[in-house]
Amino acid sequence: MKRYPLFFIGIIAALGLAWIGVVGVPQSQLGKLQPQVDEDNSLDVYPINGAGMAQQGHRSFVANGCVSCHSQQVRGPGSVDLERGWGSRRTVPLDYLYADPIQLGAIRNGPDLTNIGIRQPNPEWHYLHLYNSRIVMPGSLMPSYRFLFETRKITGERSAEALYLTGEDAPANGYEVVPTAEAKALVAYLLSSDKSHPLKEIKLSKEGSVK
Amino acid sequence: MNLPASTPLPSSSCCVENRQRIDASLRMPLLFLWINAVGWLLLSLVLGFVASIKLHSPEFLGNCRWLTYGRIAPLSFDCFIYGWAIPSGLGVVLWIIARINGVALGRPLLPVIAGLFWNIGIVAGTLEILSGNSQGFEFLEYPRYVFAILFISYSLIAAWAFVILNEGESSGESISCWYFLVGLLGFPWLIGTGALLLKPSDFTGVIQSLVGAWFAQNLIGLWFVTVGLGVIYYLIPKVTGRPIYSRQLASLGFWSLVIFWGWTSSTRYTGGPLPVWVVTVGIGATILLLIPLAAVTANFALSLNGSFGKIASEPSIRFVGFSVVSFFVAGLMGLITSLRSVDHITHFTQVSIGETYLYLFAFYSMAIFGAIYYIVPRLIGREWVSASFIQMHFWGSAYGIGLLVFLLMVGGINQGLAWNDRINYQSAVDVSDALMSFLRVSGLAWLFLIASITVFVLHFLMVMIGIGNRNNEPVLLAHVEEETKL
Repeated sequence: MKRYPLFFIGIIAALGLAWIGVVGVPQSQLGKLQPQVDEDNSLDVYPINGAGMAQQGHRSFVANGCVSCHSQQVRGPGSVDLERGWGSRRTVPLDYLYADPIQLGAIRNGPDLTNIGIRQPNPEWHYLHLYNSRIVMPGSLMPSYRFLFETRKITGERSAEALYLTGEDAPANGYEVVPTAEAKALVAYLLSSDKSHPLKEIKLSKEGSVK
Repeated sequence: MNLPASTPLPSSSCCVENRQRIDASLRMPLLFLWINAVGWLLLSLVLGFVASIKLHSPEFLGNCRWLTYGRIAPLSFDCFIYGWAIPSGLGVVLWIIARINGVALGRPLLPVIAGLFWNIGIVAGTLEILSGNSQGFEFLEYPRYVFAILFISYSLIAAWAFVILNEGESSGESISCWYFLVGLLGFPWLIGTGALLLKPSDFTGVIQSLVGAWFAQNLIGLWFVTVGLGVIYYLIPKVTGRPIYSRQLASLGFWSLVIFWGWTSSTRYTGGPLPVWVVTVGIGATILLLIPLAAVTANFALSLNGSFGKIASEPSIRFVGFSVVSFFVAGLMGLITSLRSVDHITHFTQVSIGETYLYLFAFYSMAIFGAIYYIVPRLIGREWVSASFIQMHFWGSAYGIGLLVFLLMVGGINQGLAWNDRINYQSAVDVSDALMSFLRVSGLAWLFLIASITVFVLHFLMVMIGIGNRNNEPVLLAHVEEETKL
């Protein structure tokens, strides 16, 4: 037992130092990060703290564990990410200033979604893709999120929001499939996914490295 | 603290009566912890099986909101870690610490009640994830209140370990106890810095990812690795009857692991939007983990040298042997895949899931199974019923996890090469086609695991209830040929 105090101090020092090193120091380096303001001509501020629909959609993204298969980070030159058209530049800490909870992702069973809003700006496509991804992407392994849609009886005229479904996916005669509020929010979130804003730090620094 | 029923007897670890008193005091809490834990293990494996099917046949159970892939895949890990791994390990740790120190547990009912609350916490967390209230960080999916329940229940159980250590005299000499202390302290430290006092959303932007990575990586290092190694350091000398080969080597392995592991978490985001130095530090620390990896496995191999016959006959050491090999493979894989040139292919692929299963199942769980096979007959005074059941458990788990890890590794490398080959694999569908055959076969690996654990659960229940006991001879695997003829 006599050795214990020293032993405990050793353990606590090892655990504490590591935490300071990999969480504390980066926090002191990046914790005061401020949005970039383009003073040259437009006074553009980036990033903007999103609100409303897109934020609710982010919650749905987290709830359904989309991060299990989709990353939201574009690596720099030397990786395949730019070649695949997932972004026009690599992403940096500033891009994620308002991401909460951040969903960088560690697995890509599907493509990266960092810039899905500009890569696929058509909401109809996203609704069909969520309802049954194989309608727009034959062979896709993405789950169907039919529970984000409602099949209801057409009263009066067909809703403008109703999905155009054919074949096996089509609802019974006199019925239509419309997105729920959650589906609309999720699509709003996906459409808002755009990290293409030019950044001073990327023009200034060498390719592929962040300060 | 005053413990009415525990009078430490310094030289008593060799005293049969005292051993029986210790076992009697731990019987109820340990059986309670373990019986619930194996239930969660089975559920975790079934969820993993369902998730593996969904990955290649997305319409399977496709219309159910609660069972969508993104919910059950992380849930499978949470049930494994919080349902099975931590309570089962806690039971093993309590027993070994009590035996080493020759101190019985004071109030056996308290850990049982704490264990009950622990399980209530897991049920609540499971329902929260299924109903879409995940926090969105790996191994940290449960809401904060669930971690609060887990923390309190954990403390009530782990406190006994400290009470015993405080009363006992011989822990300082035990290598196992060094590791157990790190595990016992490390887990509350992690929950504190990852879920309770601080949580990812207390930070902004990419620091959240670093906090999440810190938690996930250190949960493996500070619980799975420390407890797993502590168990192996206990079982090898007990079963072989010879001491650990070198205490200096053990000390080197211990301290280098404790010092370096904590710095490795950033390798989870190599190439990501983080300051480059953070990742470089992580890779450097991972390379330095070669020191504990070599020291620990060499020490185990040299301690087992000359007793390899025991691996054929003794159930507990058979599992431990598998666990030691897995530890070495897991460490080596972690080292190789952390290098930027390899990470370039394996990042974002199933390879990382394969590495997680190496630590969680092939290394840790196999060591815990070994410990349970060793402890249960002593704990309840009845031998295991059948060597065939143990053989089925061992080979089912060995083949199952071996096949699963192999498929995830090779499939993952294929997946990574496909992502990197933009010409031949233009779309995400082309890439998933490259992975498809591996995913289909992985269902078989899951079935092996489920079958082997089902056998283990039934065997465990039989011993507990007392069905089928014929004699008081320890069950040895070498006798299996005779037994199947009976």
